[in-house]
Amino acid sequence: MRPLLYGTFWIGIYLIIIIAPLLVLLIGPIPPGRGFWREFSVGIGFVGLSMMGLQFFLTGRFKHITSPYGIDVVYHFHRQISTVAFILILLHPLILFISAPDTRLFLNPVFSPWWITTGTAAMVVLAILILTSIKRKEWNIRYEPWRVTHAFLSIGVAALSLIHIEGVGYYVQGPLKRWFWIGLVTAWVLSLVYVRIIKPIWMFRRPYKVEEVIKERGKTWTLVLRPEGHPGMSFKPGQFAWLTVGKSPFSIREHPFSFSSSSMKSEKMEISIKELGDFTSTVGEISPGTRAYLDGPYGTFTIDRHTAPGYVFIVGGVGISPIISILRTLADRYEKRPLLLFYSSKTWEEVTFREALDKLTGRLNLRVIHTLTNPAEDWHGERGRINAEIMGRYLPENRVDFEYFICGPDPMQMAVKKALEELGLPLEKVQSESFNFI
Amino acid sequence: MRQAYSTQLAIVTGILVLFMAGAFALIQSPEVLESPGITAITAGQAVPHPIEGHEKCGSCHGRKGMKAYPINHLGWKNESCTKCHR
Repeated sequence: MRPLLYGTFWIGIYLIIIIAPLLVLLIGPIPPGRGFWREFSVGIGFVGLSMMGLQFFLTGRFKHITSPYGIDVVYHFHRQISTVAFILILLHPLILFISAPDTRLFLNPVFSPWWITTGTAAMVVLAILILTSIKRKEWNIRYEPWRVTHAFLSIGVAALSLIHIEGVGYYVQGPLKRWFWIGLVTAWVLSLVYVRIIKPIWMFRRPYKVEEVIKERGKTWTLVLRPEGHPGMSFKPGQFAWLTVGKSPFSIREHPFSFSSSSMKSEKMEISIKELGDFTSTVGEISPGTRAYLDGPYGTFTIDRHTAPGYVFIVGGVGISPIISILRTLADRYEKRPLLLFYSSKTWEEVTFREALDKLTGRLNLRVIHTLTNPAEDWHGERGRINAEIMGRYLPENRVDFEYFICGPDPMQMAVKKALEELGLPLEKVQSESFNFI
Repeated sequence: MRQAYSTQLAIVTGILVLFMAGAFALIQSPEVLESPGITAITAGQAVPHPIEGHEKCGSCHGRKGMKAYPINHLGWKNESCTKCHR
């Protein structure tokens, strides 16, 4: 199925599932209405819970669901729709309090029955869940503890909300409605079981061995991974995988990294990692022979989805990893189309894969334009960050027909997109991927 | 670009939910729409006094009234009481 059709299909399924509680409520005998605003509030509450339940699927890295859009976009949607769901769920009690002032008595725990208390608790836990996610970096919460807490709080919100609905007992009586909710909750639980148990077991049976740890320029390390007892992972150039090293696949300590090797060589895969944070700073200490596990491949940042007469790659720092994978794959495919690489680094000494790129220019119709933000005085190449002026000097006349791939830090991506717009290039031709999964 | 579409989808989803919840409330709201197929599945306690002239149920049966209704009836409007209690 084509990505557009497939993508539309999953969006349709998503929308049907979130409004399904309202449709099911109206099937069979239903209790009498209790006024417009009360029913409006209740409707929002039911749909809000359905939206929260579907978050388990959005973050479950199901390849069928993520492949039409790219997993980065699915995670982005997860964050956006969480805020929307929270606002809707917050409206649920607010509308009640405004339309029926005597319900404000529920704010007093003395008058509040247990099923209302669970609803209030669900709301508080949801607020904590969202706040700790938005403010994680600002509040210096480490990734691993945050991830565990996030999972438990999510389950807590779902459980407390279900108890609240069951306790109120309105609209959930009758076999059809009961089976609907049992089915919905079972699907949520099964998605958790798949993500936390079935997938790790599958990964456990497909281990990799770190064969070599290579020091690259620019504080970057390349891990050479060899599959043990299986044929390895088939990936497209530009894709990435979640890597677990030295721990079991049940561990929460896993990180997304792009492949840097050619996709034509799945018997030995390479992942290149720049020293940036807690885990990445320890990559150089990994010993050859260490066991590793991969969850992937993911991502839509690949030339194989975009046919064009030529390609332009615009790279900042560690963003070179997926691009070198693309270039190595193209070289292995004896590619003849013109390729242009704009590559921004701090200094000439820190240009990761400098020598590899030199070799690739001999195998491909590739031109590499290095630009340095902190060059030596005798540097004769481009200086500063990549901008419209630099790109305009090298882009061919038929630039509109080319496909553009940007990879680098988010601010760099934003600046380059703006520069490409200045050059009159349509954004439909520009592909990028963000590794902001948290 | 793709992330902008994702934000738009989240906003559209929120609007759709409000619209659907509104439609649900309209179907359930007797003041606005009459739904002939809908029947009450709960029969409330019979009203032991004439209802005529005592339509403001909440004044006697509100939380601070002389014979308060149960706590799970909080927020119900006077017009809704006689759907189950007759």
